Amino acid sequence: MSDLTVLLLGGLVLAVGTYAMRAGGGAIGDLLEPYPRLQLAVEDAAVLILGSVMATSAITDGQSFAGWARPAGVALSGLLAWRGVPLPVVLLVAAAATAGLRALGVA
Amino acid sequence: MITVAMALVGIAYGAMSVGAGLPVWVAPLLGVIVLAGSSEMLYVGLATATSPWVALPAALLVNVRHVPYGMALRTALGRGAARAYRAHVMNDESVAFALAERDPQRARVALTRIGTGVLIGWPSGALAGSLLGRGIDQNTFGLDAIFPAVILALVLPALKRARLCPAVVAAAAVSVPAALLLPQGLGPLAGVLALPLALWRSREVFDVPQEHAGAGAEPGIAHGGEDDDE
Repeated sequence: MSDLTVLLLGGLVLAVGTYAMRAGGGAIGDLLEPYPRLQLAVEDAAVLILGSVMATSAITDGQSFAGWARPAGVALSGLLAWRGVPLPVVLLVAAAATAGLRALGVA
Repeated sequence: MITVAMALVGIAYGAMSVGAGLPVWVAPLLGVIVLAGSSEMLYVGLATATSPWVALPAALLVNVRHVPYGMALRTALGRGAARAYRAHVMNDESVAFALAERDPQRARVALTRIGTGVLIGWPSGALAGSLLGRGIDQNTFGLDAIFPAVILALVLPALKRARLCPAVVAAAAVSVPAALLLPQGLGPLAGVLALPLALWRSREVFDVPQEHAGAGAEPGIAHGGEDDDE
């Protein structure tokens, strides 16, 4: 099999698996209902993974440091989001600040 | 508005996938059938850098949060074909809007409306980014900063709540050195190591209502109330 075929096959499994989790949430919700602590732990773990995905994608590129421009742009956007600035503006600022810092010579 | 925001991120995703050597149609196709942005970018990034079989478990794990989403929005999902469609368009954005509505009927409308907006915006942006990707360097436009910025904006409500804040900070602090030292894809998963911190803090959520309200207070009620501001 070619690399692309394998990647598409994996993508299909990802699509089916993701849909199964979305559709199965209601059913699992019934099962977890007597265990609110477990329910809370599942939600917390998801938030922690999201936070880690954010930190690693802001700061690292593969196994190396991504440079200062991207984390600085993301940090600035986070500050704006915290202050209640609408999401599209937040995202434009993140991209513009990162691009601007790079244009000024910040790696 | 949410459609435009998702299209912007989609452009970065499309440009990234073409930059990784994939054909133009791959990103929009995955965008329609998976429709879960962060997991798709993780999957494409990891699959092209290592192997799809390394990327698949990591991407699926990122999507596990859709299980509690489904649990929380059981009543808003409805029945039959509409339920099947709403389950597919259930994502961070549509869930956030649906949870903000108290009335199940309005929550249902919000879920369908925002979800459909994302279903249009995300693959369209991915297609635009794929087509533009060959001509633009995503670093020049800072598009690589958009994905972490979106995730940060979505995680912020959790950070504002005192209970999860230390755990999220710890998860982020653990995941970065883990990403630098471990094989790609394991870094974000290392964030789960901070879970005991979150659970330790969650004792208050369960214990306090019982102490103050006596036998009538169920843990589930305390938890449901705490969930509302997400």
